[in-house]
Amino acid sequence: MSWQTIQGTVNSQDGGVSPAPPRIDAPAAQQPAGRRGPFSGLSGSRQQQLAGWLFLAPAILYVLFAFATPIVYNVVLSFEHDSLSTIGSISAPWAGLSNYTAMFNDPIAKSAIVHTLIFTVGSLVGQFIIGLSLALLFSTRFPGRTVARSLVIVPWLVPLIVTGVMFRFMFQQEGGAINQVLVGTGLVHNPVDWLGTTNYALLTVTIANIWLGVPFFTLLLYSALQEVPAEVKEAAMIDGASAWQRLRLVTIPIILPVIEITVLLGFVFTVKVFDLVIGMTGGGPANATQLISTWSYALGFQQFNFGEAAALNNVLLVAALVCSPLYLFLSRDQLRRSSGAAR
Amino acid sequence: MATLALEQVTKVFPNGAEAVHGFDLVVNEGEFVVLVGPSGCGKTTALRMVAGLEEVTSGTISLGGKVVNDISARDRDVAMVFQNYALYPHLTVLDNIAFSLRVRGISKHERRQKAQEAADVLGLTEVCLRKPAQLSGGQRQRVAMGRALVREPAVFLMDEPLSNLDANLRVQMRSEVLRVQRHLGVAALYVTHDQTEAMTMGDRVAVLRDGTLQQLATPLELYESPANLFVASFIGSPPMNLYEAEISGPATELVLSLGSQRLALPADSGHRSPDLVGSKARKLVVGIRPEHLTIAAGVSTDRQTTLAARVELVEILGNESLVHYSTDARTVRNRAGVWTADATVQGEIAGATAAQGVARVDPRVPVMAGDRVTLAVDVGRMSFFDAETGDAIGATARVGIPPQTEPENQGPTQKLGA
Amino acid sequence: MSFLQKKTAVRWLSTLVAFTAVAIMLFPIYSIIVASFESTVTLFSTNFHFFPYHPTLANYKTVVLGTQSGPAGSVTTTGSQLGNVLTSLEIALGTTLLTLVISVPAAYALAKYRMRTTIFFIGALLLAQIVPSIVLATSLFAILLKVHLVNTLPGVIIADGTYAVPFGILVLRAFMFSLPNELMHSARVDGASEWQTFRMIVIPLARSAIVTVAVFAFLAGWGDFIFALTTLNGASFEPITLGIYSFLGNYQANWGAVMAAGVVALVPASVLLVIAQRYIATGLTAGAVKG
Repeated sequence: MSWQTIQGTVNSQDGGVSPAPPRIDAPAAQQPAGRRGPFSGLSGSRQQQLAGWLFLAPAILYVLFAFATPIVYNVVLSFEHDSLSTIGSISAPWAGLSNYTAMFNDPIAKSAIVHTLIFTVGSLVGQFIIGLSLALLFSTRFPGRTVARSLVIVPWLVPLIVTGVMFRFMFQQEGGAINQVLVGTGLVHNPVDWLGTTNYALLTVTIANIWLGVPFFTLLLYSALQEVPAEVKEAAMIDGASAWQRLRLVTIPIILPVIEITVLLGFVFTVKVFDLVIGMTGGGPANATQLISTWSYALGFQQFNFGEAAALNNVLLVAALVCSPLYLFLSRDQLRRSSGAAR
Repeated sequence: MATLALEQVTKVFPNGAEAVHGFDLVVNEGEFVVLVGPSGCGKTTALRMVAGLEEVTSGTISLGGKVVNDISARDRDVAMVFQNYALYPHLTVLDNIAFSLRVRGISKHERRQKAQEAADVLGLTEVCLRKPAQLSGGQRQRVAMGRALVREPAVFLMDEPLSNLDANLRVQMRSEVLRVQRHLGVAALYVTHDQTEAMTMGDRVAVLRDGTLQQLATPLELYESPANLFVASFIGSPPMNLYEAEISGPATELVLSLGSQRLALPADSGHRSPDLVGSKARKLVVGIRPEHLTIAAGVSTDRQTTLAARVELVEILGNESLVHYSTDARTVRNRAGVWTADATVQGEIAGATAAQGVARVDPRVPVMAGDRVTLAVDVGRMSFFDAETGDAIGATARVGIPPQTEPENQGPTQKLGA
Repeated sequence: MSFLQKKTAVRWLSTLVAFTAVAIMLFPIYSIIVASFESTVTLFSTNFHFFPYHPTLANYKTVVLGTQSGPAGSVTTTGSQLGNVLTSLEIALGTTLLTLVISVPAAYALAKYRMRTTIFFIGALLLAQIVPSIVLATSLFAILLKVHLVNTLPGVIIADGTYAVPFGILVLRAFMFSLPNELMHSARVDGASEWQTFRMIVIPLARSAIVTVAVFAFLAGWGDFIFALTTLNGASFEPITLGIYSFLGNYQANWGAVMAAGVVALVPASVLLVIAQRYIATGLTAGAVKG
């Protein structure tokens, strides 16, 4: 099973194509229905073009409403002075770049950017190492591996806010499982205040996020490892490569494309993280775990400073979109298939 | 019930590729016409245009006198069997057969009954509640035909329907397909790349090459008088032996020169084909079917009607033997669409590794690789082609071919369930 | 030790390591399940009990009834989580429905109709997947406010669709793309309209991919917190994720109840894991979504 699981082989013949340009003037709300559709009078390809657009219409409307408009509106907001009373109207006063200057002069916003960076890089490193290890482990044959493999995806199914609560509970200073184990095994003498001190809080939320991302990395890398032909590894073995050499010189290069896209998606997901931190620390203590997402929420929905929140959001959006060319490049298979679509 | 007519049908894809060029074809009611040609010749595109799956760039397609260019596939009332059958994998055999009735709003009772009848006719009674995945290749093929059978369509289209079957089954299914078509009694258009299939099944056969119709004729006509070099080499297995030749002599004593060898044509050749006389001292291509060569016992008689050859390989098939030989003549081959004589053998003497050919001979004639033999040519049944255009010259050397006739309506009256 | 014995030993060692890793991975979940059955007094002791200490259903009672006695005799009143579970179900099912209604036909159009915009739309969907939810949340709040959908179920469902719609279209499109074109052509020749072809051929054939997308949309709607938090902040109802967050606000008094509510929030995921594990794994590897 490749990581783009469901995509199968294609069976297109002669590349049957209609030369007619797409027609946009289709009535959008109407769905073809009934025994003999409403377009019986149209020629074959017109009819199909129209049907295609009708099938696509709800998605276009939705993407416009739920993605395009908010993103554009976010840019507008970032140049306005908005409060709770003006956010629903269009009459907010123009703010110029003041939201952006405010943001860059806001020590919390600046530290949020730094925290997001540390949090993201730390999470990715941890997720990748653990995910790859587990994927390699699951690629070997051992009793019970199917059960183990299916259990490993469980953390991913937990609502994020519950994950936050779980880790908050485990990392409690008093009565937390982590401290109990650490003290019990003598690794530390006194219980550590994981979430209450600025030194440890960011590390703790990063650990929680690693836990969250491991199933994703494990499953994707595992799928990729399944695709590595056994003969190649066997050939390397006969050539005298050690297990580590086989991994480094044969396996990893072969699954590199999947590693790239997995890390990239992992980056995108991690940059977005919100619920987990809200559930664990709410951004505290003393903003030590404030991320761009959480601080943007606090600015907008708690301080009703929607302008600066929007400015910060745009930083986050840019961070996420910076990798979009790379992402599109790595997803070129999906895109290439689209150009091969036949009627 | 209708006659299918294509008039100057042309298909140009958006990328500029011309798949079909000025194609004219009439298929009469009850007639079975086969479109044959190498892959990429446009035969499938032509069929898909008739089905309405492909738009016609120019020209008209009409069914029963009504132009259907702008009528969508669903409204054309055609039935089609696809190469991979395109059975709906989630439906049972009966539901597959009844699908077209279902979308036309025919009552459940009626479509069950009709589908069951079709299944019975095709010998699918035992498997009619199975899904396609549980069927054998032959059964799937029958289901695909059942979908047409239940329809009583205006025209019956088939796109290489037998190509996914193994050789034995394919032969068996040929007659099944014909039976279904006779049942339907409608115009049928059948696409294949297999010339044997074309010859054995078609009332008439249309040979296509690079989107252009080469010849439309009955199988026998196609075999006996190919319109051009392409048809000559495409129809027949093993193919016709084609050599560069020159013609000379007076009209009553025409002599053909192949390399250093001479063949005397029958005395009436010039009379029956004045074109051949006009070709005098001109290069042309002569075509000799393998079965028109026999291994002569001794040295030839007074008239020159033999070729000296060396046996390269003998394929013993039991009922006949195929003798692969080389002779002093220049073989004509199709090189990238251009007909050229084989340059490498120029000036070489007989017996060298010169031009290749195949003779279909009696298996009892003892012959072995390396033997030098004399091949007697049935000089009355040779074909001649213009070396430059590749077109056939006259109908000279051929005998007993009636002029082209409109095929009669088979007038099938037997109807499904009647 | 023979080669074979050694190999067997290595295998069992792998089993041991794998299950240890799985145990560590699952421990946080285990810990809240255990904690949800502990009394508040136990939870406030300095010791964590790895096994149930004094099992009690008191926390679940709180979750169901909505009131409980705090420490030192104080009584804190909170809403019953039962209504919240219902709200969450409504949101999750609504998100599923919205996602399917939008993505199934769109995926078909993008997979099987030749349109020049296809490549742009797919690119847009790939990009839409990487837009952080908080970015959408701020402006969606403003937009929903304008169209009077703030604090309504449709509002939060539309917002939650942003998790699943792009994913759904891409996954379904990839699947439908692999369906042979001949099936659609055959249906057309058989006289089916475009809509009939879609309804009678495409939907039945894409069933497994549709289930995958439905499962994901459901989990996205069920687990959503950020859009509930931003678009339902003045609503008379809240999903369980918000309910847990509210408990958390005064968690000093409600640790046990938070745990129990958290366990309740795990139920649908667990049920789906059991009945639709195949689809979850498929969807996860299909590449794009993580809560």
